[in-house]
Amino acid sequence: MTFSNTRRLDRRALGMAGLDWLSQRRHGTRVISLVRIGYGVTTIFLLLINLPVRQQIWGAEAAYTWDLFMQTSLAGGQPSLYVLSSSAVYADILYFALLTAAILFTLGWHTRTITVIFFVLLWSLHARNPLATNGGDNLARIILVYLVFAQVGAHWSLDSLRTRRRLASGRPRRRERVIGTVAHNAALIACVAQVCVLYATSSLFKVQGEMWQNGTALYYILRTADYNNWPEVAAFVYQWPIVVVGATYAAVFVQLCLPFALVNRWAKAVLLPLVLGMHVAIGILMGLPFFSLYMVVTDLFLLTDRDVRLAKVYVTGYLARFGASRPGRMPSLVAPELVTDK
Amino acid sequence: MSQPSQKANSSRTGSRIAAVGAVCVLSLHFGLTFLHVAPANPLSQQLALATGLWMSPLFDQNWELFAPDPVSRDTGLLVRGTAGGDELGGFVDLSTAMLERKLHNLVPDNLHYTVSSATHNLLSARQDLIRNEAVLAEFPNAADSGLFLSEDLLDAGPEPLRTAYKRTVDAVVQLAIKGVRDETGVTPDAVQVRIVTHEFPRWSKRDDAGVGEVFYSDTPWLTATGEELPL
Repeated sequence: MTFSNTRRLDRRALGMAGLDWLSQRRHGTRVISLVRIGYGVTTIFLLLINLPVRQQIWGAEAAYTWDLFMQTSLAGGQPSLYVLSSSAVYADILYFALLTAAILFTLGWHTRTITVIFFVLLWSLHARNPLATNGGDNLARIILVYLVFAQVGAHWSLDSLRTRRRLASGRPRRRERVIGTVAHNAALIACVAQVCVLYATSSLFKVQGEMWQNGTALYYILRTADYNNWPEVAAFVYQWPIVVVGATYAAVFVQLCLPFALVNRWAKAVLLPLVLGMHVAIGILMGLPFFSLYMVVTDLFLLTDRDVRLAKVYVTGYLARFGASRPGRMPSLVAPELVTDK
Repeated sequence: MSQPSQKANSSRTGSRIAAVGAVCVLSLHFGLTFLHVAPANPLSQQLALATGLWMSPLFDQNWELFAPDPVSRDTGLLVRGTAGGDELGGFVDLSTAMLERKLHNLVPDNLHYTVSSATHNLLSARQDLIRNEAVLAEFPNAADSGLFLSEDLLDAGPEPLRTAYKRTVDAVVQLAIKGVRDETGVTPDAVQVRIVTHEFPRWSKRDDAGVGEVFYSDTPWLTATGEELPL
């Protein structure tokens, strides 16, 4: 066999291994379950905080009137359940239905169906008043489309409890259909790719801007009244050129480099905490809590199930040590459960 | 004994075909997604129609977050109204109340967006039109236009920009009507909108005690449907 033949065979084997990766086993089920809980909790939180003003944003008292909404909804290609009625009662029904769906989504109850319902209701709310949404809502909405094709309730969910009970009672595990596995893995790839496209293009736009180039962008953002949530803190921060310039450049570099976190574990160990820190800082300093939460949750797609299980071992170990100081408890380290596919 | 392994092989072929399908869909989708959100380039311009059809409305997105340049001025919205020819008090400041809801608040609700987004959308929709090539060809001095663009100028612009601008005017007018009604208890039949722009000190003057510069820009009196009130 000639050298080139071997190479061709290797490449073929590699391609087949890739196709088998997509179709033989469901990957990233822990990460996806974490994102499910994160999106659910963020949405519940958002709906509760907005409860007192819901009619002024999405209901009968909205300055973005139902007539304005009707011009942008069906006619503008933005269908929404709110088109059916302009009444305050109906708006409330949809609002509380969304809250219920968000709770069930978080708990992981019949996730196949609930994911679709949650998406439709969230989309409808966003379409009712396009002025009241931001990039975080937009991202969550897109990721939810992908999650419709994924198994989002494999862990930490009522669905997984039901499966465990079923197995314990001696009934056989439900067969996983190949097409479902391919759809799940493709959805996982789509979520990760979406995160990468977001950061890569966001940084491409930033590097074109003069204020990002000369390192002063953070000053202008911190000083703009819309985002200047803690003027004392902002005024203190922008007294320090090293902080302003450092954070401005860091924001660009972290966004530009983030896709490489997928290639190298060390890159991830540096970039992921930086991007999470950036979003937490944005959330607090600029008064954008829900934008920040949706972003932080979506950043979790850069983790693998292995990372999540390692984190679990650390946390369990820490808790066990903490618990050991109390009488009657023995320190124990819980090993990650064995994954069996068949 | 070759039967089971043959069966396994054929099922693996089936799953591989499904996987190839998934790879194709993902490649197409993210190729178009990238073109949709990346800065304009020859390829994205060539495929703009296909990209738009594929992405809208389910995957519409824009990640120009504070870029190319972040906002570097404050914009405030003031409104006043008349009912049956009588002025209903002076200008009502809609923005300050919203900023106060947010200030020192770790978890502000979304109400403040309804004012700030309406203001920003009006300014950027106007900007898109007065910088449009077709508009500039007919109106070389389009940049000198006020906040409210004339019908003639709008007619020179392309359709999506024209509709987008009219919608932002409608949204601001409804905001003004509600603002005046909340303040005076009377529903106005005509409103006037004023956008206050505050350019705070640039970086090199950040320690100046002054507030920077303030500009005002008013629309004419507008009817509830966003048309200029005939004099």
